Amino acid sequence: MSKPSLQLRDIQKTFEQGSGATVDVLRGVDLDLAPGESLAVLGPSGSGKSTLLHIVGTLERPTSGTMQLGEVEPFSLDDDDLARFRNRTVGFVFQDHHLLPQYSVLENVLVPTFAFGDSEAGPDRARQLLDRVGLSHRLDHRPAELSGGERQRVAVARSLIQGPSLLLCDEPTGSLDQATADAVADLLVEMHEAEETILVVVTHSLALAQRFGRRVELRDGVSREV
Amino acid sequence: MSLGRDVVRDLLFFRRTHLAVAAGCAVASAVLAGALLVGDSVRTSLRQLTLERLGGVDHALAASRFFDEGAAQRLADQAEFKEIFDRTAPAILLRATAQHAESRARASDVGLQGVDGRFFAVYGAEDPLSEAETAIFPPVVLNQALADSLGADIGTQVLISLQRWSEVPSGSLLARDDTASVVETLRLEVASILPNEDLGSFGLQTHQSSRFNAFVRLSDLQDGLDQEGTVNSILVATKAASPAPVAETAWSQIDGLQSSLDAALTLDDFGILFRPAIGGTLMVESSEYVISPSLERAIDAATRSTGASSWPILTYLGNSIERVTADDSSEAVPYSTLTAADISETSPFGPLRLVDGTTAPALGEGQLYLNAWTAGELGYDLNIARPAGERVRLRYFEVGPREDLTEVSHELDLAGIVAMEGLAVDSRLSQEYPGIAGSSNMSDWDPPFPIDLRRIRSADEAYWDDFRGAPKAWVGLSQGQDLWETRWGRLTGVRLAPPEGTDLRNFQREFENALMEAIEPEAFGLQFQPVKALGVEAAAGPTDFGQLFLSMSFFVIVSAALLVALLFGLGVEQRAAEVGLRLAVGFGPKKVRKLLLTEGLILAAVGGAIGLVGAVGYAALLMLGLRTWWLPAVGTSRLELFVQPLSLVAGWSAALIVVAVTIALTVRRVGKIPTPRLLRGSVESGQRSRSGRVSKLTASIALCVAVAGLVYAFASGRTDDPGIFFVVGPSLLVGLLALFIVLLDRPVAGLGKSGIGALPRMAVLNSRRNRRRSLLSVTLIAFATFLIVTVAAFEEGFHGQALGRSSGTGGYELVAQADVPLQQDLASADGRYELGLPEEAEDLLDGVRIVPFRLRPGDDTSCLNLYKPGEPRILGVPDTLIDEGGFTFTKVAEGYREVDNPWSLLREDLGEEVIPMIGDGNSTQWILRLPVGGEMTVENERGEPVTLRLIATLATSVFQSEVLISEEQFLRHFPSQGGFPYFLIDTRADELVDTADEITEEVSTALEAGLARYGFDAVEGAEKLASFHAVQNTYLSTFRSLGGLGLLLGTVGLAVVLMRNVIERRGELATLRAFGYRKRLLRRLIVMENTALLAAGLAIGTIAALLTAGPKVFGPGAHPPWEGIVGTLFLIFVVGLAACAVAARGALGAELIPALKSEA
Repeated sequence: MSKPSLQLRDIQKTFEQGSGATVDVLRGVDLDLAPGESLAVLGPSGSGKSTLLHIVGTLERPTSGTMQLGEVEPFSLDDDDLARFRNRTVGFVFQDHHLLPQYSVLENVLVPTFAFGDSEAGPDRARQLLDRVGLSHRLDHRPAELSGGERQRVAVARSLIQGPSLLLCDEPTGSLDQATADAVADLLVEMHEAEETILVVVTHSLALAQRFGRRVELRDGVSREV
Repeated sequence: MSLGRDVVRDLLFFRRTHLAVAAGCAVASAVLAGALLVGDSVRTSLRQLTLERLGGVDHALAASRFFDEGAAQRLADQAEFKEIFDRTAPAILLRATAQHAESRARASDVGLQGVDGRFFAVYGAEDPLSEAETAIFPPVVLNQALADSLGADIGTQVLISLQRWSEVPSGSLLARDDTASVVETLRLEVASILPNEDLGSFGLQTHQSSRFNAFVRLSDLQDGLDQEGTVNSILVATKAASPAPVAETAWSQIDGLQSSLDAALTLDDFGILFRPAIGGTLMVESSEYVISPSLERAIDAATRSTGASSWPILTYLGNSIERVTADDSSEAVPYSTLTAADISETSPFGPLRLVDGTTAPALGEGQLYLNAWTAGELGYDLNIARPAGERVRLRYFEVGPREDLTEVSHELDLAGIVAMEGLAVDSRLSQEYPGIAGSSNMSDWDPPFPIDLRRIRSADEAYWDDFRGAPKAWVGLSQGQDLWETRWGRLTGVRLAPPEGTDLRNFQREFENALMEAIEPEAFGLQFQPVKALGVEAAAGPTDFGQLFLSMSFFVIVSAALLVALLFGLGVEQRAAEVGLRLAVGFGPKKVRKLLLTEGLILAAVGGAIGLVGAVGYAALLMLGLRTWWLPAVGTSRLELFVQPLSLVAGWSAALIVVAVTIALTVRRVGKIPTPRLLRGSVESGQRSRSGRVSKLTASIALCVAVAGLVYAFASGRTDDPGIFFVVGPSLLVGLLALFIVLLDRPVAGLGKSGIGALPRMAVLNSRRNRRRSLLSVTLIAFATFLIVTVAAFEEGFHGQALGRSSGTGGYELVAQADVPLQQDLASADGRYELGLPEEAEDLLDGVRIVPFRLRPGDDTSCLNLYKPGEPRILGVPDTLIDEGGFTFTKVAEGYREVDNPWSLLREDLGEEVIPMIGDGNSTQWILRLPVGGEMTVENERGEPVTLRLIATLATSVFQSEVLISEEQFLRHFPSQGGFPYFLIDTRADELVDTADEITEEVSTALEAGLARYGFDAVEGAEKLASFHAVQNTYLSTFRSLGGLGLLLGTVGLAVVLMRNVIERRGELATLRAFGYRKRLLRRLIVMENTALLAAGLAIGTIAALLTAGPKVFGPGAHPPWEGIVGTLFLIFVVGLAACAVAARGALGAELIPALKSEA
């Protein structure tokens, strides 16, 4: 079955501050991404890149605007269905890998499969993914026993365990040295291509952004293709 | 910046964390100081009650005999007395039964005081009797408790029944035992009612319960008892009455008082009589008709010191003297006096001459002489002075085990016939027997024992006319003592011959002085006691409430310390980066440690000080509980809170030390962490942990200690030993907690399999994330569980077999007590008839099994008495109970464990001075503090120390208020305690299941009504047991409250750990949210993590508690309250779970997603 395309229309996000004042972080972002496409989101600090990523990942609801993934409008779903949608459709890689220190590498990759208990993905797929990210020899290791690059590779494997349509990365190489960052970027591109996901990467790094098919810059709450 | 300013800024900045730490310190301080305050308050309250009860009375002589009232004044006139003491008051102090003359409402165990103005002067109160005006009957003043119980008001007529005192030992042949002779009833009119406090609480016995009290005029009581001019007590006030008398000083005062008393008493006070006898001799006798061993010793000593010659005599009353013939046809001579004395040919008391004029030789064993008159009556040839082969049978009464008279006979060889002259016709060899002495004819005799006047012949009357009580038969002294010695003595008189050349009158004076010198008043029960000092000393209680609460608060205090460690540790962890930074910029490790420690100590000091307020509140609450909810257990609503600053300081200091050590250990741990790690915010040392090995070693050692303790406890029969409890309990807890760490370190099955079942496994894995926190949480819960389950296991209730023979009632449905001991055998139909019980009662009592006991009154040794008992109540156990057995024994002394019926050990011969004793296990362990095999010393009625050795203990029984010795030993040491005031009654109700309660009730009512004048009170054995259980359960419920406090600390710890974990794992949890975990799933996961810890704590605490309380739970006769235990565990689990759920909801309330953002 072919994977769905992503469509964002006039996404706006306003935050209320403690003083009662409001900050318009996103002021109408439009995006169209086809399956297999990759996009880098650039912009200065505070421009709303992560916010946009979280909205795409359905972690936050926009103040207004619509998002559609294939036929599904996720923000019309209730919280439970939205959680299920995210579990099955979205994969995340964060700057801080957020691996669970008490679990082994294999267990960390499997964590998303425990959320609903009816996942088709299991240890075999986890091992397969870990093999593909080059960590088949580290299955039983704990995160504390891995290097920074290895941890991020585990996070990549975890993000793909459910076979998501969307792979969202928030500064995935932000805390890695150049060589490791390059290796992780290679891996992301490779996995994205192999899994035919829509890849959205938020980054400050132009070099990293260059590795992806499209680039948009966020400035003053609006996006501009660069 | 100075250290001080740095500390202050830190304290303010981290105030929320520090507030929690200070709260933990406050709890520790509140529990420690609160426990001490409870101890102070109980002790001080009891002391106050003692001082209030005794007023100005410092010392008291309360004798079982009556003596001259003037002795009190003579005592006060002694120069030695005047130096220290202020005044004396003679009084009659007795136990009595009071009854409303109209409604017949009755109250037993009433303290009746026959007093006059001298008493009120000593006590220090207005005399309510001097001005009392009543219509007809003499006035009586009641205290409120008694008035309420009777429903009496001013003007009400009340009947006071009490035991008449007789010089003749009750139970002896010469004692009258009919109700009219034993019980005196006075009709009195209530003149006023006193409050229960102060004078209304007067009494010499230490007990905190409100007692019934009545005061009557001394002269009225003396009249009523036919004891004009005599009293049984002297009360003494010292010149400088001390509010807190010291026992040592008081006892030294007693020495002086006792020597003054020696000078104030006369021989009359000891019932010593002198009568001139034939041949210029003197007869010493006792008004008790028997010379007690103490008096015998004194007479011996006086005889030696005066150089006199003495001739001990035992004269007894025979029912008949018979000539033994082949056909048993000989006539009998009825009702004769029989004299036992050593006859000597050279005696200064005059030889006996045989009918042939020769001097009668000394009698051998088994021989007797008859006087010529008796021999003639029996058909002997009076020409033969020494008939050969003739035997004579003596019949006489013997006092049986139930004070019943049994006629026995004994045959002796007739060694000779004594001529009717000289010593042989000396009627003063026998005494002035009651009902006999003044009679001009034998047919007028009205002796206390049964007599058949039809047997008296004219010849007997003639003998009485001519020779009065001159003995008709003679035996040797040792022969006579074999036959007629009683528990009261072995002589009835001693005849004295003055040294040659001494005038009899001068000799008597000299001898009287020597005798007074030799007599020890203590041996006659005339012994002063420093009652106030003893009362104050006893107020310390058998158990120091402070220590008791402290020991039971131990786990709570440790829990509070652990909580402080946990909270302070979390605070330090939170500031790991700050600590790292300080170290990085050049602060020395010592300085950083000092900073943290100073902060900790300030928190501990401030928290502890705040806790003192809590301590006062906590103690006030417990005292309120003791006065209200637990009133049945303590018996007084007058326990008040007394706040002693010293206890507050001690509690605060102890809490400070505990918390300071805890904080120092936490700070020390941080000091070992490398700076780079701290800078990264980590408090893990990064070194390979050796804790696995340490935990295994700790678990092994602690569990071995616990097992060894349990094996020793079972092997030595010391399963109830609190010492073992305090070794086994903590060892088990430590061992199991160490085992928990070992298990925590073991790999568990991974999460390699998908499915919702993975969630619990995730929870288990997560709970291992921070071992230290998990361990602390588990420890807190385990401690609370241990305390609560242990308490539940010790809690006792009633069970189906409560009335069985092996139960605490021994199968006796009723336990009864009488104010006046019954002189007849209540167990027999004859005895009941003599007691005047109506026929209907007899129909009901037919088949009812009654076991009467003798009782030496004393202090209650049960937990109902908050005071430390001095001389305990002692019960003499009759052979019937010893033979039949019953009840359950918990422990038997070493060497006797194989005995089938441990009651039989009461007959064990432990040597002359040691008496085997059985006691209720609870009383001996907690009140008397006596281990099995241990010994205690009591004074017998002769003032001699007697050693009682605890040879076996009973499981919770109706005998908690007393200790038990055999009746035989009882009579040896307390011979004058005649009659039976204590009864076990088996109504056989168990055989009539349907009407059991009714039968028991009917028997109880019949006996109480029939024996009302004796103050007979019957209570159901089960009810008595319930009152003891109520006390135990009161303490246990107090400790359960402490367990509840521990649980509160545990759940707070668990909740804090949960919240802290959530805060630290926000990123992780947000990631899970990102991967589709719903909030409630996360909540469930977090609650599950803590549920695992909660379950582990519960399991460890429960296992440790059940093993520690093993014998109570699994031992023979154990009835563990499983429902209570399981219910308690369930409650703890639910409370813990609820706390976790609330904490999880609170912790996850905030939005997690922002934690994922690399930027806003």
